[in-house]
Amino acid sequence: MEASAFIDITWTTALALFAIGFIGGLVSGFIGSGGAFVLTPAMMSLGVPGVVAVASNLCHKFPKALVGAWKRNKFGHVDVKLGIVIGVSAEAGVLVGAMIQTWIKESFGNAGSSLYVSAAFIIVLGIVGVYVLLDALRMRRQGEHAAPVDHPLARWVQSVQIPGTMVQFKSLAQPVSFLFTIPLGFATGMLAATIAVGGFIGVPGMIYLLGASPLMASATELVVAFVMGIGGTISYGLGGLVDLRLAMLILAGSLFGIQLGAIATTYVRPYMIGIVMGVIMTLVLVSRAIVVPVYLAELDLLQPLSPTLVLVLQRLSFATLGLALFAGGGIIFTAILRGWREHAAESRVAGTLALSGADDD
Amino acid sequence: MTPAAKGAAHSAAGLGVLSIGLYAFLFLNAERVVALCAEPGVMAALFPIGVALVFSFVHGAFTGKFWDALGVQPRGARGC
Repeated sequence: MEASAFIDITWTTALALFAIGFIGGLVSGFIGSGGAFVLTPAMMSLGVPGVVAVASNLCHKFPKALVGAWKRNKFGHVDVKLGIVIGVSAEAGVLVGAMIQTWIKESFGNAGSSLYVSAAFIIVLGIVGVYVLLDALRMRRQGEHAAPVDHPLARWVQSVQIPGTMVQFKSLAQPVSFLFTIPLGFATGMLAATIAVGGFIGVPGMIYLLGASPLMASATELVVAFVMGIGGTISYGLGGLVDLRLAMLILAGSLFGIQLGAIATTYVRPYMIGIVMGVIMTLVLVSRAIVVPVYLAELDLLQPLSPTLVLVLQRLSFATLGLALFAGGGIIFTAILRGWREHAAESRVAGTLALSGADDD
Repeated sequence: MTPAAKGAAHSAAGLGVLSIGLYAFLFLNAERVVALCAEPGVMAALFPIGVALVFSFVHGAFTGKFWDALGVQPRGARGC
């Protein structure tokens, strides 16, 4: 890669990357992943070649995930062993996913590749995203009585005993076979190589397949992101594709955000993780669905669209991606403020009771 | 301001200066950094990883202390 493929960075570009990094970090600290689906297209819209955008995004992802995992480990949310097992399996998924991407691009061109990526978004987010959102809303309705690990698939997985393959993870009530964790990691990596956000499978997989709590799953995903990010950075770095300046500017904002997102998890009920993730996934799904007609027309599977309509659909899609990120950030901010107020009120009541108790003595 | 908040503010200020220094060094040497990263090879893979780890430790510690100094702490951390 020639150095000329790396863009000039103006103050405006730097501030934009810092701001997007902050919101992306906030979401990552809260739900364990997210941000990449906006960061990569945002960098491309600033003139960064697609492959450099992906590579630079990965280079900011692993140090961000490291700081987030460190922070949430202090709250007891991280299962390091599960994160490493899924992360290593995910590396294999990334390799296979990248090979499939390359083959599709060579066989069907850029439009075919974009259609494949959009189809993956729509199928995965349509099934998983909607389920996550509905389940989180169910838990919200049930309030304190919600059973966080009451998923039939997780109960079945935890009941399967395969001698020689059982592993005890601290985030799971029962030992599970690594024959379940490896495919989950592989699928996470495949999705990361396809749509850049493996956590959209990784986090729901840990909750609904393995039976981890949303808090543990979202924090453990940060370990997975670290392992995948460092592997991806080595892979792209060998090809001279990482623009370190871009990566460090995004990191500057995202480390402010990830600390705040991690702190926010201590103020909210676990279902809020699912609500934020479900809302983001559903909006991203809408964003990708908007541009599907453009790719279908480019592949001659639809009547040609006018250039104006193409531009409108592409801009609408990008705006919806931005909305997904800012909606997630807004819900997290609101949750922090509400949790903070409730906590302050509880502390005042506890203080008053302690004082009246002392008076009684 | 409590003694703990004062300590966090001092740590945040010190780490902030260090973090700004790292960013200034990176961008004052941007041409060399770009040349190193754009040349395919082992150095182009290891250099970004090394720099990213150093930035994550320094800037990560700064951002943690920054929120502490502002009183934004996890539930229960303020002893209330």
